[in-house]
Amino acid sequence: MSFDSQQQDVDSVIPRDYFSIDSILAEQQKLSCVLRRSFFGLGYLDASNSGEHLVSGTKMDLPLWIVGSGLADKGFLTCELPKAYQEANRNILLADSSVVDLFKQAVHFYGTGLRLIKLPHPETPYLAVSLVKAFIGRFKKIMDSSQNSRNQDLSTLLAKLDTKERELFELSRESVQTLDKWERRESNIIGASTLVLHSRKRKRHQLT
Amino acid sequence: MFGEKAVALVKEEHRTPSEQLQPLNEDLIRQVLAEMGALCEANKTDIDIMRTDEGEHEKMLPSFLLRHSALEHNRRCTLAYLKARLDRIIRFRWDHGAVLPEEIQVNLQEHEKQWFSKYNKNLANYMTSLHGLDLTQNTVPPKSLKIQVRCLQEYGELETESGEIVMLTMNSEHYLPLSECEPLIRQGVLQHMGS
Repeated sequence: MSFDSQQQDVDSVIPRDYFSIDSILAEQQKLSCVLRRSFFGLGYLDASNSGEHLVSGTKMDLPLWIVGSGLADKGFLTCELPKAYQEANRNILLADSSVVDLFKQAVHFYGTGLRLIKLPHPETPYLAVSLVKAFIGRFKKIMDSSQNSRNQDLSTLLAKLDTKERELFELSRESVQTLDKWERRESNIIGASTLVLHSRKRKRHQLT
Repeated sequence: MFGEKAVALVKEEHRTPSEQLQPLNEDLIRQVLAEMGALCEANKTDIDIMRTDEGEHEKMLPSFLLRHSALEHNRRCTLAYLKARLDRIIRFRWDHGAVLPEEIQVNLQEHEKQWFSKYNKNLANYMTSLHGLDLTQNTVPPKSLKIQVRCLQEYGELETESGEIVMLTMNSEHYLPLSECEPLIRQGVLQHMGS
């Protein structure tokens, strides 16, 4: 449909997530790389290098935003996937993704993963499948706990979710709280702004 | 590695709690711009060499592209930082009102203050063009035209649309039109009493 193609054109000029802070942070992930060409004049980027240039064959860690900017596509360097996205971990996720501590493996697990699958790396098809399966395996628990545990302490569960899952969790929890409010016939009560609420909280703390 | 200061900007904005606004980190922005200036100069020098022949072009291309991606990255981070601040200010406008609390106002940079004032003007003009429909009102579904409120501060006199003058003193309770009360409730002057 014409709708879709219009959005695609816009996306090629400015990606939808251009201003997204989460997206920027997800691209900070460091990858272990091998340079396949010499990078003249940039020797200072590698701490262990004493020369003026980065010679072909140098091993260095580079952030994803550099690797994915076209240098890998043009074959100027090759890279390894971070540990969290390699085969060993993919197999763990396949076994039972719902018990894995994703936050510990990669704070922006899905954000970085979505960027990684665009790289020219032989394992990207497997990684793409793995991301979807991992999400599916964890989704039920996230929705269940956010909607059905009104007063329990969910901090241990929350700590194992990556940033996108945490967003989802919060959205879900908020929607349940809104429903509760409505059931208590409080949905028409106007509240003070968050600025006021926090300033009151601060004043209370200062007094105690 | 390039781009670290730019990411520091983004991280600072990310870390700020949603009800606060930090002062604009002009110093860090200046450092990012300085790095971009240096990258730009280096690439300009390389371009002149690369134009001379095909061999030089191939030789310098990897460095050139790496510096260019750092320039793009720094730009993206700086723009995202500035935009996130503006989005934050807009949220405050809709949540709190056209007059922001002192502790927020003091952290708005001069250009942001001017931007905010223009935003308010645009919003006011737009709402006027809708025959006076106040879009920032009725943040929750209203149940009645008048509501019961209690005053939480020594506010003083309030003149309602009908010309009535109400004295808002600490803990005084009133039964007033919703449209008059809503802005004051959001600013924390009044409290909406449930039915």
